[in-house]
Amino acid sequence: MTGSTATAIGYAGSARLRWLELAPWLVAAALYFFAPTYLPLGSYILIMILFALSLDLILGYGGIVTLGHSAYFGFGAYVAGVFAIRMSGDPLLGLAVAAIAAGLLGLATGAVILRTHGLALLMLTLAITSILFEVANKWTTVTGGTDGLHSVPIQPILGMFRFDMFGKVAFLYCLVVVAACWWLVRTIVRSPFGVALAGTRENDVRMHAIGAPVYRRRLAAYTISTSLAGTAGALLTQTTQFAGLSVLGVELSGEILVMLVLGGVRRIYGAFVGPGVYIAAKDYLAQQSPEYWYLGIGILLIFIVMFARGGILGLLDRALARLKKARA
Amino acid sequence: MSPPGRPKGESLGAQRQGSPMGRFALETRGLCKNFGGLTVAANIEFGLEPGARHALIGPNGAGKTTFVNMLTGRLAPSSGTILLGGEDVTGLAPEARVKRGLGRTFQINTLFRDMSVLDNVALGVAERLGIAGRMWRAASAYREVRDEAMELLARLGLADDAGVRVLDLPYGKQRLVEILIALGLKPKVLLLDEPAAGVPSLE
Repeated sequence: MTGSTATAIGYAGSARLRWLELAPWLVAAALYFFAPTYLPLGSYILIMILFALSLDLILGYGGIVTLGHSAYFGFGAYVAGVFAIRMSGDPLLGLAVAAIAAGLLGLATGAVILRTHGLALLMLTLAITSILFEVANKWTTVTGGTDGLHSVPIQPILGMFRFDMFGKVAFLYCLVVVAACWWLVRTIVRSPFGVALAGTRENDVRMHAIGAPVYRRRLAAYTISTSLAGTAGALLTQTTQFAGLSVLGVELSGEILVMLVLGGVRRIYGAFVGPGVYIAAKDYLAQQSPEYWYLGIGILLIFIVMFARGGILGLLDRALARLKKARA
Repeated sequence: MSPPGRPKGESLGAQRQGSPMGRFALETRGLCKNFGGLTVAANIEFGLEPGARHALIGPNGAGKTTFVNMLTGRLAPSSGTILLGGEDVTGLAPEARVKRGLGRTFQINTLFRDMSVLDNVALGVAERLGIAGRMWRAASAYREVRDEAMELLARLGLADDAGVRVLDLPYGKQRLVEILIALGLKPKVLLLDEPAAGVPSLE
């Protein structure tokens, strides 16, 4: 992509890691060392970053519009919970099982819904999350119904690192998993597959005309994305030892979309900035005005959509471009 | 293509004359297309010999693009057969026909508008080379794709525009990119649908 995107991808792009790409990890390290009381909030932000990253892969790069991504996040959360309760409390094994299960669900549902476009696709994604929500609500023997899954037993990571009450191990665990998934997404969007995926977003008619298997590519991206969303959901269950119905709600799907738009779609790092700003703003505004904090979020979103297309990172891009121009 | 009353297929550059299977690079037999009660293509008998160049002419609305769309698989014919190199491709998807050597351009620019000129051409080259589905190495590591795309761009004088977003190119150059994408596929049969449409004479 050129021009409108911040990340240098494509056949002329560079795959080398830029210094600026280390910024999110430096912020995370700073949080760990200098703000230990915020680690549980930090873990939650990391989980939302992974969730937003998974959405960016299909929405930003693949152009697949969805309002039902919480289905896979929630499915991963419940699979991790049920697996820990009934099979094994090993977190890495649980994470892998949840990722595979969510990916398989994504493959099965994607095989049907990705044959549609536009409004029909949007409605079908909503339907999937609504169906799963109702299954989790009614299947009380497995999911706990409205009570959810409480006190999910999670063993120490690799048998050595026990989840502590201050959330240090949980934070580092989330950090490592999110970093691995970030690297995966970064690799994919810069690969020929990533460029071809962007091509299907830009013009699927032309992609067919150059012999690309558009449907298969979109399905592959959707499967990877849903697997990542399921991983994020599993992380939430494992770090909080709880899985409730809210992880399957349409509200969460909308919220993650807002976070991504806020940070900047199709940039990878928009998925880092958006959840950080959204959750920090939500935390601050809820303290200032517990009743009207949503108003503040709404105004922020209107401002971003109206005046900062490309999200906060788009705004920064333009500011930097102006600065460069002024210097020149 | 041929409304009722018009001689079937006579306006086409080459006609099939009971030729043996495989003589033509592209061939149609009794190709028809109806939209409800409206017949836009009636019993087209058509053949293109390998290496030959043909022009398909007709007034606006004659059905030239409909014919091209049927050949390339964007539109399913109501009846008839399409043979590519002697193989029946009538029921194949557009991408499967491309893999068998059928390339096309579009009457209205159908480009990857937000992508660079280089990536527009490279997408087709990568698809032909079977590289486009790979996801573990950066696209820029596939030098053979980039080099071939640059070669094509240089051939039509667009090398200096390789990094420019297609949307920012003048219309005439966009038409050239349209053709280059198809050339990157190295098709056995190339269908150019009004390649100079809308290009100012100066360009």
